Amino acid sequence: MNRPLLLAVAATVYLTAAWMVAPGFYDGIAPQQPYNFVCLPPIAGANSGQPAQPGHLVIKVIDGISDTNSVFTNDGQVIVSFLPGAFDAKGKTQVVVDVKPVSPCPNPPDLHFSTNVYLVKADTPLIQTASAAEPCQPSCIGLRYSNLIPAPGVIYRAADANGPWKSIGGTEAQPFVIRTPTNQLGYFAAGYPANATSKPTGTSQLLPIAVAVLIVGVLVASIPLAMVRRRRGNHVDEENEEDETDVIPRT
Amino acid sequence: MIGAYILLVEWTRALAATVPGAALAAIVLGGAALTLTVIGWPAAKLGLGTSRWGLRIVGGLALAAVLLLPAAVRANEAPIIPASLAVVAVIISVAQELAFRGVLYAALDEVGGAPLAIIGSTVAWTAAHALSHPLAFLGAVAAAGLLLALWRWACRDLVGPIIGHVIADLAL
Repeated sequence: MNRPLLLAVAATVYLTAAWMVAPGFYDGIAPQQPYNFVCLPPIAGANSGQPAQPGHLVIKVIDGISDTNSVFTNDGQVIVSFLPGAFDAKGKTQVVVDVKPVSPCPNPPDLHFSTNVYLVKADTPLIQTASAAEPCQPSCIGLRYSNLIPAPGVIYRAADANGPWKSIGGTEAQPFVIRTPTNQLGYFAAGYPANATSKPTGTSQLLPIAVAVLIVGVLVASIPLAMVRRRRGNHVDEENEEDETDVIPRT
Repeated sequence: MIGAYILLVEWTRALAATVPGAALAAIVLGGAALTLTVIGWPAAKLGLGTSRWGLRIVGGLALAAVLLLPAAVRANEAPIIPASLAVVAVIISVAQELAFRGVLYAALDEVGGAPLAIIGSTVAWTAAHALSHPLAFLGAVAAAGLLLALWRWACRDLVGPIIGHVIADLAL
């Protein structure tokens, strides 16, 4: 059968199949489930997922020292880890920690949030340290973010949902998860300054241009390649091209 | 045996990537494990001959354009891979092509010819992504695998699929 025709059919089948699902190849480096937005960004479209989930944890206290533990939201979008003795828990037998997605969504004018805003609160205060230190002293927070929007640069914290918001840093602990230590609980969200000159750029402008360049490049490069093949075809017996490294589709 | 090994590596990588903090290591180690399959195979058998580089590269660019076209048309919905993941995207793309369209294709070709090589490598490719992708994506994954396998067969070339896969993964 005509090999170029088969390739064209396969390309058409792929284009049709790919058109029926959201873009992306997800070779093990993207989130395996959609992000659960409290307030859907316009680009989320049909990939909005489910409602964002809360989390709850009871940490044991032994001899006044709180145990090490981590609280997750049920959808895994937030993890807050506590080291032993993270809480000032003298006289207590347990510490209760809750994580809740905040609605309506805070929208500070000077920041863009890439994640939901979450309220992390406990019935016991964290121990007072001058500043949080690596790796997780006394606690650290990790926020998963969506692959549909620009990645956040840092995690912000506030005592009130209306701000003021303070950057507490952040590093990419694993794909699509930003993490940083914190010595206070409160409201958390990951994002970047609204006026950031180097804020992450999406594929919305670059990808169509890149594909257009690819197509033009292929068309332009095909001309001399076709001429070379034609010239060779005039001088070389077809039988000589039946080797393992032949890369010319034959009919 | 080769197919089972490749599937085992891919499934292990997919499961390991779900462990917090282990995703990058899983990709790098998984890529290395896939690349090990090329040991003992002549480059020409894998479609890695040294002739006609122009055609191979242009073919790879054409494959990349096809793979990216559905996302480019819907650019506002396209996902964004953080720049820090570029290296691992390249590693896993090259490793997967070497394993699926390189070694597995060549092994199946020796056993049952081109039809078995094309269908078998495509089925294995799709199955390998079953744990790492939502079910709805597997049709597109299979179609991409079929396209790359057909290129491998029609042009006896693996450079094109490698280039196309790398560019596509870097962009998305």
